[in-house]
Amino acid sequence: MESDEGLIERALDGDLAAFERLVERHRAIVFRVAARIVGPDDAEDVSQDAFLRAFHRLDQYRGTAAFRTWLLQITQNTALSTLSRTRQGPVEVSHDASEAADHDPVRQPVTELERRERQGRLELKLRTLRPEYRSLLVLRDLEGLSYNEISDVLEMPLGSVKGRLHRARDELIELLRNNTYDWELPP
Amino acid sequence: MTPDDPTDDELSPAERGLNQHLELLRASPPTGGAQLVTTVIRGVRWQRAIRDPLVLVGAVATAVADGLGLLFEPPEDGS
Repeated sequence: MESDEGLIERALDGDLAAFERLVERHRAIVFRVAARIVGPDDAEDVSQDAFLRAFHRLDQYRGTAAFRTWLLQITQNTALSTLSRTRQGPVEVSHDASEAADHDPVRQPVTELERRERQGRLELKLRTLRPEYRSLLVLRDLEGLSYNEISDVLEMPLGSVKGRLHRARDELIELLRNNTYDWELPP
Repeated sequence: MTPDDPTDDELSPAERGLNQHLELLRASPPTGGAQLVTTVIRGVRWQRAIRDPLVLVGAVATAVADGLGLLFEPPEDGS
């Protein structure tokens, strides 16, 4: 498989097919991160915008970090500026657990419905967090990026990443504890 | 919270509990963006197509402005 660097080089020489392969290779993580920060409705637009920005700034990619890291940095910035532009509050979660329960309660086992309901509630709580904390939790706890990579994505010292992540988790824990739904989080 | 990262220090019981709940989200990642490749490449082609003419128009406008500036430049003092 051709490396990202090889594809970037060819894309810079005007080979659009090479950039197409880069998009294909990284679209899943870009979409996931965008969706978890801005919500599913705007995820496609944010992802598209991030890739277009990446294309136009491709000559600025220095290769000091992985291309994925650079791309996630652009995605994260695009997502946050979208949020600040739209001043979005908590995003409605489009999981259809309740609809499924209303329309066809027999087809799905109760445990599956319950799982989906918990998932929907958790996503909603995650989106109530301030965007900076949300990004950190998404990158670390959902996407499993290393602290070093997050430090590069957020252009933040390693110590700050760890400190803020700790505060982000604390804030989410508090949000869940204050929820009427019992999340059974130990003190 | 990934097992392969040794820098992940100890988690409090509450953080461990949170991590277990977050597994719900990790297990069902958002899916979509199937059309992303098509829309991105279409966008790139379109932007490329209009970029060159815009650059040309910009260059011509700058040259005209520079030319007019030279024509109507006030004479220097003492000349």
